[in-house]
Amino acid sequence: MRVLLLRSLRERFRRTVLTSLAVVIGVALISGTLIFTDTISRSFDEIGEVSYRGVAVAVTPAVPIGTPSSEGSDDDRGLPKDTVDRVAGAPGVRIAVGQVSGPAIIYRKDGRTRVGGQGPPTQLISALPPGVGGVTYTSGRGPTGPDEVVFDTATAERAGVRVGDTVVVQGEGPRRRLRLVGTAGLGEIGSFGPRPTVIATQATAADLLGREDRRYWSQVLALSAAGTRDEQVAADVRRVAGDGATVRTGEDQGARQSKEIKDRISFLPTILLVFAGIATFVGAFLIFNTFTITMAQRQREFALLRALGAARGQVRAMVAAEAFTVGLLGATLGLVAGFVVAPALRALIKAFGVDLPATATVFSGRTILVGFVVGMAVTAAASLLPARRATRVAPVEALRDAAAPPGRGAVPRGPVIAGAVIGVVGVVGLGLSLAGTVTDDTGTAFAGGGAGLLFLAATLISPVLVGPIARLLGRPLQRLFGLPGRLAQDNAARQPGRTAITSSALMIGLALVVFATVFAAGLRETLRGDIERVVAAPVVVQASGGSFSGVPTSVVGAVRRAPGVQSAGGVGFSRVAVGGRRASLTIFDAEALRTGLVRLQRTDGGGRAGDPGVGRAYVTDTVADSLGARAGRTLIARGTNGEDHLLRIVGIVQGSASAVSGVVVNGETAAEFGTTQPFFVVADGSREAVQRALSRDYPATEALTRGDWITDQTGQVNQLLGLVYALLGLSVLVALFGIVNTLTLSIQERIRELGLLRAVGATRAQVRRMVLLEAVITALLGALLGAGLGFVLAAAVGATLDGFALSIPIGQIALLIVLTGALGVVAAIRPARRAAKVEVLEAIAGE
Amino acid sequence: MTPARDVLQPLLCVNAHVSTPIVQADALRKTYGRGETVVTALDGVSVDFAAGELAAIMGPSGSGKSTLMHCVAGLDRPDSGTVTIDGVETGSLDDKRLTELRRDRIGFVFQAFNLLPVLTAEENILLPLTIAGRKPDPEWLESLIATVGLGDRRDHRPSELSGGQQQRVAVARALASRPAVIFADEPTGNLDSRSSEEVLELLRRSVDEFGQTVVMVTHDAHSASYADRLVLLKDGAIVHDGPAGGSDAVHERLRQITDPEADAAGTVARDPRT
Ligand SMILES: Nc1ncnc2c1ncn2[C@@H]1O[C@H](COP(=O)(O)OP(=O)(O)O)[C@@H](O)[C@H]1O
Ligand SMILES: [Mg+2]
Repeated sequence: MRVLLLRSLRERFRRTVLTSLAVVIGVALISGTLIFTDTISRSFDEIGEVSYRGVAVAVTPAVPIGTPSSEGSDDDRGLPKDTVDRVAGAPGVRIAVGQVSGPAIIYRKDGRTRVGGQGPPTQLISALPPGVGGVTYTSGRGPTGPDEVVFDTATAERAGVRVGDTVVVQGEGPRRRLRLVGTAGLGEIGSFGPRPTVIATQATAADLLGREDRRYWSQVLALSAAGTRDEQVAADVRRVAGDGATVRTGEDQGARQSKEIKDRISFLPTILLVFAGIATFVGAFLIFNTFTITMAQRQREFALLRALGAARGQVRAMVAAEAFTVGLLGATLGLVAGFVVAPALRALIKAFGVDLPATATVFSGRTILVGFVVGMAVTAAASLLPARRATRVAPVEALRDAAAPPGRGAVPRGPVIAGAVIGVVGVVGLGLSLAGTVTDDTGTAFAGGGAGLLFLAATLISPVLVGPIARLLGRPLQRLFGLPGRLAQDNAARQPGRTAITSSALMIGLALVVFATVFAAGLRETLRGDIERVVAAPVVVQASGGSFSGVPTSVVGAVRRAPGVQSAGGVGFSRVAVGGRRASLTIFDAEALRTGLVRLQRTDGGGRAGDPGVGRAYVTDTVADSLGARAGRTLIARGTNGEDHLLRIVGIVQGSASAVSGVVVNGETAAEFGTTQPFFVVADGSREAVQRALSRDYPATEALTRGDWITDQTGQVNQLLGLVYALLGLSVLVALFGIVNTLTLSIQERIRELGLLRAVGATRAQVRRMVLLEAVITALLGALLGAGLGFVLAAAVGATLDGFALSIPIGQIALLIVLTGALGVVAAIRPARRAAKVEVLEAIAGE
Repeated sequence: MTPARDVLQPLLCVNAHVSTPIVQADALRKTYGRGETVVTALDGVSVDFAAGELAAIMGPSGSGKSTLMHCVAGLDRPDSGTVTIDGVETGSLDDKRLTELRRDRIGFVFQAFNLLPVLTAEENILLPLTIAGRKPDPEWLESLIATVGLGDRRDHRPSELSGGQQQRVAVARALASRPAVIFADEPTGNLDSRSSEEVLELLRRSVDEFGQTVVMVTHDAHSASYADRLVLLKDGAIVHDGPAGGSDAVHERLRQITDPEADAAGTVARDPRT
């Protein structure tokens, strides 16, 4: 039996590899994701470690309880200027140094184009004395004079500047021209993580960031005297540091910093693993189909073995061993391929603006374990049914005539009924979670499981649809291509189960693509509707390119002074904690509300909402419900600066997910909560005038007309969609391998027919066209089912979102369907060439 | 085929009907393998087939019958020698031309698997015409279907037809494009005697009624007795070429060229009706 197994694997080597490919891609994505995230995680650990190397104690502004430290930024908080002296006075402290840091904007050489606008915001930090912190200068030196500055190496490269060049940096106030005196990185890592970093002297940094003595330092670091323990020094410092300060050992602080960053990007591995899982799920279809077909083709071989006395168990063991080999081979190759996928994922994320650090590649035991378990389990699950069927063959089958592939296969009724039942269960599961009957993690599980079952149901039911759809698609093909079109249609429909599974793999990928497309279109329209309702201002100023990092506070004044502008106001977003619960903080400058540049609709009968006034707030209807807030009541809210303030609710306004949410205050009130920087500035007057007024001091801002700005805002959804497309593309790729595999196997099966066609005069081109068209039919079948399913899912999910405007991007969907058909052709190129190469003699030699 | 030939053909037929063979094979050699294991399948075979003739090729198993037929029919290329079909030398044709020659000038009937399972009987019959993108002459189609006796089964798929019916459809398919010659490799090899009879009758009538040229490979003396002419092969060479005669005569010929130990002749001889 072992000889037989090895022979059969070798004979079918190419097919084994092709089948394994499905496993390879799935496992490669999973292990690639794990390698990638482990590597990032390790890199952040190293960054944390290096940043606090040699630092005994780190003092930072206390993180207010209830505020999300991992989401807000430290930039709004600060330690009083005298903290350094107090810390220096603690026993065991040799030296204490303070560091100022905050958000900044840097420009390319031309002084106008922003560097790193799309990614995480740029940070400006003050230089520390040599030996404190892990900064090493890779070229030049550290800043010493008031007009000197250092960039991190990657940023200098991106900005296209070299040591000695003049660079332009902007903090809270107008931009400043400084001289680049060096480039830097952290220790052996060479970067500061994903954030572009600018280093200036303490005085320059404080000036650029507009620091006041009350909130001056971002952190104070202490080096210890010889013979002290860090924990002891930390305890001593804690006694003198004051209330608003948190004191940790340097090691703790490094670990904490790394954890905070990792928490911030913790969604990334989850999302990547979900997409890897989808690709693996699709891969399982491919494996299932391949095994089903090959087992069917080998019926006679198995029957012969049985007739010669092989026990059923022996045949089953042989098949199981083959599946095992496929799984093992696939998992191993997948793990190796993970090393290619990991940097590719990093490059993908980088293409979307986030350059995550990767020091040494981390290949953990867990990655190996997960890779093998997934690879083997998927293969085992997918080959179980075909293997069982194969071993049920009766020995007499061996004596029957070589079974020619059937002319027209029947659709077994059992799976279709099962499919219908599963579909109902899936709809119920999806419905329960969408209706909010089950929520949180269970809800997510119900939604995911429901969608999964729906896919399974569609797969089981789809054989019924193969015939009709093949005829529908086949008719025009026949008219266009004649006989090849006719035969392609018949061939696609002759084994409906096989065609259905092949196209189902594509269906899943396409359903998700269409889901994302429809959902994104809906999101875009919803966003547009929300914004249009709220923003009435004819001109909006934002950071160039629509960066999320906002504009300097002083821009509001600059806009207001522009010729022709009567009124202007900032719009910002932040968070507060109310009674320990987080809520969004939406900020409109009083002037914007008063003058109607921004319109809020009151839902408690007050018409349009004006300026709430200092210390007063509106709440949106949803927050009013969840907090039980009514007009006239007073809330205690805690800002990102950790300060508590009273907020008197003066009314309830209509909320919307994307424009107005949570607690609505004016700019003055927001300043008390530590938020000053607006995201946008709304104004009247003309766009040109505003743009001209800003171009000298704020070249990184752009003034847009209301219409352009709204288009720009809604367009950002597309960028996200691009990332989703890129990740789903891999599932589609696996599905295309499925088409290649099925066609290859079918052609092997139909070799005599091909020979006959050639004998009676079909040209190679006609045979090739026939196979290509069969692939087109299969692909379009998947595309149509997928588009339908994706649309239904998007509509269902959209229906649960408040005010979600479902829109049907018909053009886009049609394009996707056509594209899928074209991909089918690409997938069929090789099988078609193989089919066209069939020699008549080769085909009739089997007699 | 060139338009010039279309015009010339009637003239050629009138002037040289007897002397111009439809198929000419000249000094065909074909070997398989190399070194120690080299097998000479055709050892310098020259043979012509005239228009309106039903020729049977016989010989012991492995004597080169199939190889000869494949080479002559343009399915395979001989190592040396030339094949001319309907005035066209096949050796010089590229794959596309050869395919078109097969499509337009040659009909095939194989031992098994002659029909596409996805097509109906009628569609199978019309296959060569459909491939060529030609419209069938309805009268011709009707007479074909009537001749093969499939009137009520024209819309059935091959899986719904008996073996004999399938082979008759195959013969009709071969006739459909009115080819210059039909090659049939053991067309009754898989059939019982009654079905064999029907298929052989059909081939015979196609020669008698339509003037069709048919070359048939068989190992069955009874089948060969339907032929006008018998060509006997042994070890890749022609050992007899003459009128077929009855099945007894064929039988005798076979016996002469076969060693008494070789079982090929023995099995051939045991036809129940001889
Ligand atoms: N493709 C091939 N490869 C090697 N030898 C072959 C091949 N085809 C035929 N032969 C050999 O050539 C000889 C003639 O074969 P064939 O023409 O099939 O004989 P027949 O049809 O008379 O039984 C035989 O010895 C056979 O073994
Ligand atoms: Mg033969």
